[in-house]
Order: sequence, then structure tokens, then C-alpha cells
Amino acid sequence: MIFRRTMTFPLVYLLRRNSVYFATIAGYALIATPLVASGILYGDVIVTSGIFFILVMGLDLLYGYTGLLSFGHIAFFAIGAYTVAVLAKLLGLSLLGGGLAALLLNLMLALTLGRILLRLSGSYFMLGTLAFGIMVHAVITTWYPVTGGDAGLGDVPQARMGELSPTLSLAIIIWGTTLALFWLAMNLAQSRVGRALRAIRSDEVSAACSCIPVARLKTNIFALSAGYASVSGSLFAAYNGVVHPDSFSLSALLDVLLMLFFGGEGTIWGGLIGVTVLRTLPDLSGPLHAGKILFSGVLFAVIIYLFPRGIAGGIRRIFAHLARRPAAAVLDAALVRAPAIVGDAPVLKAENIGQSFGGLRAVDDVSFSIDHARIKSLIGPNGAGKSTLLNLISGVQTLREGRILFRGEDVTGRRPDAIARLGMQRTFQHERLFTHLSVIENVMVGCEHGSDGSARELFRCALALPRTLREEQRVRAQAAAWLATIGLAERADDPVAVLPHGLRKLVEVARAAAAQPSLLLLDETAAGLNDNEKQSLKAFIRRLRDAGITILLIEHDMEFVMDISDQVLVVNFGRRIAEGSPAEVRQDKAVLAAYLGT
Amino acid sequence: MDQVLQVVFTGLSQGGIYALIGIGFSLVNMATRVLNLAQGSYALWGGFLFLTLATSYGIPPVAAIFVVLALVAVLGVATERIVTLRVRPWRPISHDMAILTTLALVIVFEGAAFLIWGPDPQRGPALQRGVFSLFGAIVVWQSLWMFVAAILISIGLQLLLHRTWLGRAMRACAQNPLTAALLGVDTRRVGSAAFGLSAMVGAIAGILVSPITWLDYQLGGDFMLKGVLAYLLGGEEAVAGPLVGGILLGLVENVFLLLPGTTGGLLKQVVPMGVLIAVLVLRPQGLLSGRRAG
Repeated sequence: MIFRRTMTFPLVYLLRRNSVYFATIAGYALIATPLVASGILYGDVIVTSGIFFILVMGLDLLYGYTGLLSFGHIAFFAIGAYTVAVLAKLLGLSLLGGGLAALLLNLMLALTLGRILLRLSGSYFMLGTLAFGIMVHAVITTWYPVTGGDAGLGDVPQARMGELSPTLSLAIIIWGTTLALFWLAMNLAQSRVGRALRAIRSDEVSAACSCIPVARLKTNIFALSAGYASVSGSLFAAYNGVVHPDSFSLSALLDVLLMLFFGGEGTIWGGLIGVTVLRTLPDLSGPLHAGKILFSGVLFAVIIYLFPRGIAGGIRRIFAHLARRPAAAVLDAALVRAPAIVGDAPVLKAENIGQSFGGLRAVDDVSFSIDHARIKSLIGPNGAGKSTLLNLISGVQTLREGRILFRGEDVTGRRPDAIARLGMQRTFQHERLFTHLSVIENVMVGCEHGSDGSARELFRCALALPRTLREEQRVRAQAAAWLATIGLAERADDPVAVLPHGLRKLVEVARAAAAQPSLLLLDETAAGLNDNEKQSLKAFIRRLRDAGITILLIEHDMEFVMDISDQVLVVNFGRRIAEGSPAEVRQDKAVLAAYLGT
Repeated sequence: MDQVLQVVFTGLSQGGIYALIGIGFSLVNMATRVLNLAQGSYALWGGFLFLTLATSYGIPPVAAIFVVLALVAVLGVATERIVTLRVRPWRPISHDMAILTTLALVIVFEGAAFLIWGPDPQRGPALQRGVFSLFGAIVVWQSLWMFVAAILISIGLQLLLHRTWLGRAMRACAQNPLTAALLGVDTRRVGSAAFGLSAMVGAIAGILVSPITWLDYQLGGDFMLKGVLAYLLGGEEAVAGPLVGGILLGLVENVFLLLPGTTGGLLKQVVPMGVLIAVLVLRPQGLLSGRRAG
């Protein structure tokens, strides 16, 4: 309730949030109407642009936001089209009925396929989806009894609304659907789900450590974008009245990708530009006839060479300057909520944990525990196994030897996002911020614990329910307050890439702390900071401790360690060689030997 | 029984072709971390060029093969140049952009083939005509050569990778391109060589298969798909992976032709994907070793 005062009225917020949506539609209408009226642009192009825009939006959610390039969406598009055509022929189903059946089929297919193909990383995922896409094309070309083979199917049902002509009815249905799906996609893109998706695109490991269930979210967004492709395909079939394998071939896929990249990925609205321009272009290649395939191939190559960010990328860069507003910082007193104490057990208890890489014992039978609201430092010479230890604790590397109890719960072998959700946050030795998010958005991901990636959350965010919007505002205010605390309020809307190294590390700490963890793991956060920065980092860490957060940190700067630590744990060659207060450790013979050599 | 043997022989020979295209993928990916979708287009162009040289110009087949290999190697090197146009020392290759560029090139190759050779399927000349009988099955000489070529080329490439400087350089690039570069390997040239080499391997596949499947301008995408499947099935073992994957794919595909009616033809299209999914579920790293699962 603390933030209530500063909240904008939801309706105003809703309008501001939708400004890009309305600006795109208004701009499009403003440019397209006179062109259609004067006969330069055909009404036909505008209508089909709506259809393909839906498909491109689906691809953009998947690639532009999540970083997954799918060549299989032409198949979901084809299934959307053929299901409508086939069901109309066999059962006499209408466009709506067939379209819903197609949607259901595609969603189930995508959830199954996604779960399997998403195990593959980057390029291999593309190859897997490519195989799927070409296979579906082969099936519709060969399965004569059902799909009509290379002759295609005719007589796809036309939807009709009241007294309106079929063409007009269909145009209204198509654009109505397009605008609705556009609105949903824009909402989703700006919500916590959108941020979580871009976090995944930036860095999957660090996204998982920020509570994001990477695999689940990826699967769900894959299914959602397949749904977009399906709707698009169904409308495509209805509009053309026929379905033919040629519309779903490899080069058709290339056309669609071209629309996405020409318009600009990662914006949703950019697709509309790409679609409209490229739906107009075939008229240009008209005189070439035989050279049409060659023309589109060359065009694609040239466009991705000249505009790797697309047209929308350029437009957005201009507007980013105009839209900057300093984050309104409020009330940092209530920022850190004391985490609940579970019994009097230590916050973290590691029992005999170990890890080998080939013949190297990186961590060898290490046991230790950390008490509530203490700062423990983990020190040791280079290669002692400190970072590996942190990776094992946070689940980045799966623990196979030993056991870890976190707040009394056995977390051995759990995924990093599950461990993070229990209240463990970490930073990395080489800072891993989300480069596709702004400074404040990085901290927001921390505040809101990413996204749980469930279908329910996808719906809630896409519909922009009042509760979601209020939550969104609360999180933004909270993130702004965190930025104010570390002195970065002015840079809230900067991309993280422009921050200097030291500040980036600070933002990473803020992102982790904003998640209100009970245990915070810091991997060489002070490295590369100057003396002033180190002093303020020290004060910041102490404040977190005083608020009840337990801290385990790796550090090489001994002055820093001895000053800040309640306890010090020393490792060498993967083994624990000493543990105690800073003063005790300083006197320890084994430690002296490890650091100075004997 | 005869029918089964027949299917096995057909599967082995087609599998050999898939393997050759898959090997092309793995060579390029190994040296440059680029997945070159134009791999199937080299087979298409190799087949078409050989057909033109051997029939229209009457060049003896053996000589024609060498000319074709040289020409297609140029296409391979050109692909590498185009893919790396934007690459600068301070701007490393973007793998998404690279794969999209090669996809664009697939269409460029397809469109150019359409302009040059037209829309109708054409049949290339066989290296050796006729058939022979083996355990009661009829085997076309040409398809024996398809299988033998796959085995011989695999052995040759294996030797190249392990016994020569170029092979070592390619394997070094696979492990760590930066370290390789710092140790004096010209990674750009190794990359070019890998593209050229894999284009030649692809061209051989195209030359061998053209009398059996005929060639039409759209076939580049199909070849590519089979190569991709062979490569995904086999795992990241440079030569052995796609070889095993390709032959397995050839066998599995053709088994379904034993079924009566059109079902077999349909299943032939679907089953490879099914096999891929099964392999991904049971052994995400591919049949042979690899490290691509995320």
C-alpha cells in the first residue's frame, strides 16, 4: 500500500501503455487509405496483409522476444489452412468451427513438438523445426485422399455476416481478428512475460537464476506463436477459397521471414510494415516472371545485409529518445522485506558436496553452513573451486555428490529457477545482465520474480487485466526505488550495454536483491570497482544483511573481505582448508601456506 | 525375402547420398559454427552441371566430374564470402543472420537453376549403366556406387581431419576459434576451405543420384532436409555421425515402401521426422556422441 500514492489511475496508464498500438493503427490507416483510394495499393493487399501480419506477430514473439528462430511455423500455418478446408469438405464445418479445431490441433502439436525440439540449442532447434516444416509440406503434397495432393482443395467455406457481401464480411473478420491479436501481442510484449522472454533471449542461465522457468516458458510461447500461425492459416484458406501446397513451401516461409526481418524483429508492430511492403512487391517483380524465385532470394539476402534491425528498429531508435523519462523514485525505506525465518536451522547447509571435471576434482567433499543474516566470504587462490561451488549451490551445475539444504529444504538436483523461487539469488563473476532489457527492466525482472511461464499468466498478461496493470506499476515503482538506492535513477531507461562495467555489476546486485532473497550469492562483485565504488558496495551489502538477508560472497580483495565478513571460509584445490572469523582465518597456518606458499 | 533385400540395398544407397550431404553440414559447422542450408543446393547444382557438361558438351564423364567439382567448390567459397560479408574483427558472425543468409541462398540457387535448366525434371547420365544380381535382389550399378562413394569419401575425410594440417586446423577451429586464430591458424581460410570441400562432397552426391531420382530445380530443399536429418540423427561426430545417420535414414524410409498402396509413400515422408523425434527424446545428443543438447 505504500506505493498507492504514486500510482497513475489504471485507465490513464492503459492508454499510455497502448500508445504504440494506437499509433501504429492510426499511422497505418493514415498512410494506407489515400494509397488505396488512388489505386496505388490494392484493397486486396491490405486484407492479405492482415492475415500475414498475424503469422509474422507469432514469429516475432518467438524470435524477436525469445530468440528462437522457427522454420516450422509455415507448417502450423499450413495445418491451420488445411484443417479448415478438410473439415469443411468432410463435415461441412464453418470457418469458425474449422478454425477452432485447427487452433486446438496446432496447440497440442506445438506443445508436444516444442517440448522435444526445445531441448535442442539455438541452431539445432532451427534445423529441427525446418525438418518439421518440410515434412508437413511433403505430407500435404502426397496425401491425395485427404489433402488433394498437389492439386490442392477448393471450396473452402466463406464466412458471411448478415447482409454484407462475402468479401466485405471476410475483410471485416480478418481485420477484426488481426487488431485483437495485435492488441494481445502488444500487451504480452510489454508485460512481465515479455520481459522474461527477452531475459531468456539475452541469457538463459541468468534468466533461470532470476526465477524464470526457461523450458516451460519457451514451450508455452512456442505454442502461442503456433496458435497465431494457425489462425492466420485458417483465415488465409477462407480468403483464397482454395488451399494449395505451393502456398506452404520453403520459399513461402522465406517470404514470411523476410516480412519479419524487413519490418524489424522484436517490436511486434514492425511486422505490419514488412508485410504490407512485401505484399506489394510481387507486382514489382512481375515483369521478371521466370526470375521471380531468384528475385525474392536476392532481395532477402540484400535486405538482411542492409537492414539487420529492420525498419521498425530505426523508427524505435528515434522514439526511444523522445520517450525517456526519469524513473520516479519513492520510499526506499520499506524496500527490503525481512525474509521469513524458518526454524532456527541455518539458511544454507552444504553436506559433503563434490564435483569432478574429467580427472580434476574442482570441489572435493566440502561441508559448511551459513546462519541467518550473516555475511560469509568464500576465499581461496585462483582455481580453488569457488565459482564451481557457487554454481552447485545455485543449481547452475547439477549437484551429483553430496546434499544441499536451503532453509531446511533439500534442494539437491533441483533446477536453478526452482531454487531461485525458494529465495536464493546470485550474481555472476562476469556480470550477466539481460542485454535486451533496459536498466530498470533488469531490476523489474528481479522484483517480480520473472514470470512463472504458465499459460494462465500468459493469458492474464495478454488481456492486460486491471490487477496485472496495478502489479506492473507497483513493480516499476519498486525497481525505480532500487535504482535510486544505488544511485542510478537517471539511467533507468538506458540499455545496459552503455553502462560502464562497475555500474553493471551494481545493477546485477540490485536485480538479485530486488527479488527479496533470503540468501544472496555474490561472485566477485567488487572486482574491477574503484575505492569509492567499493565503499558504497560495502555499505549496500551491510544494509542488505541488516535487513535480514544472508550473504555468501566470493572476493579476492582481502581488505574488503576482512572488513565486511562475519565468517570466512577458505578453500584450496577444491577442499575446505579453514573456516572461522576473519581474525582466526588470518592466523591459520594452512591459509597462510595456501596464499603465500610454504 | 527378395523384396526385403531389395529395400535394404535401396536404403543403403540412398542413405549414402543423405550421408554425403549431412557430412557437408558437419564439416562447415565444425570449422565455422555456421549451419549452411545451401548444402543441398550444391548437390542440385553439381548434378545439373554434370548433366550439361556430359550430355550437351560431350565431355567424358571423368573429366566432367573434375570440372564440376571445381565449379561447385567456387560456389561453396562464394557462399562463405557472402555469409561473412558483415563480419569484422570487432563484429563476430551472427549465427541467426548466417543461417538466414544461407536460406536466402537456397532460394537464389533454386531460382537460378530454374532460369538455366527450366521447370522440367531431367535425368543425368549414369557412371555405369545396367544392373547385377546380388543374393537374388536386382541392384543397379549406379546405386552400388552411391553407397561405395559415401564410404570411401567418409574414410578419406576422416584421414584428412586427423592426418593433415588442414584437418587439424579445422578441428582446432571447432574447439575454439579464437585460440586457433591466436596460434596462427587463418580461420577465415580454413572456413573457406571447409565450405569449398563440403560443396564438392555435396556435388558428388548430386552427380551420383541424378540418374536415379532425376533433377528438378526445387530439389535443393529436399536434399538439404535429408542432409539435416542425417546430421541431426548422427550427432556431432564430424564424419561418422552423418554417415550412420544418413544410412539409418535411408533404410528406415524405404522399409515403408514395402507396404501396399499409397500409404507407403506417405509414411516415407512422415517417418524420418518420427525417427528424429524418437532419437531426440531418447538420445538428445544424437546417436553418436555430441554436445549440442541445451
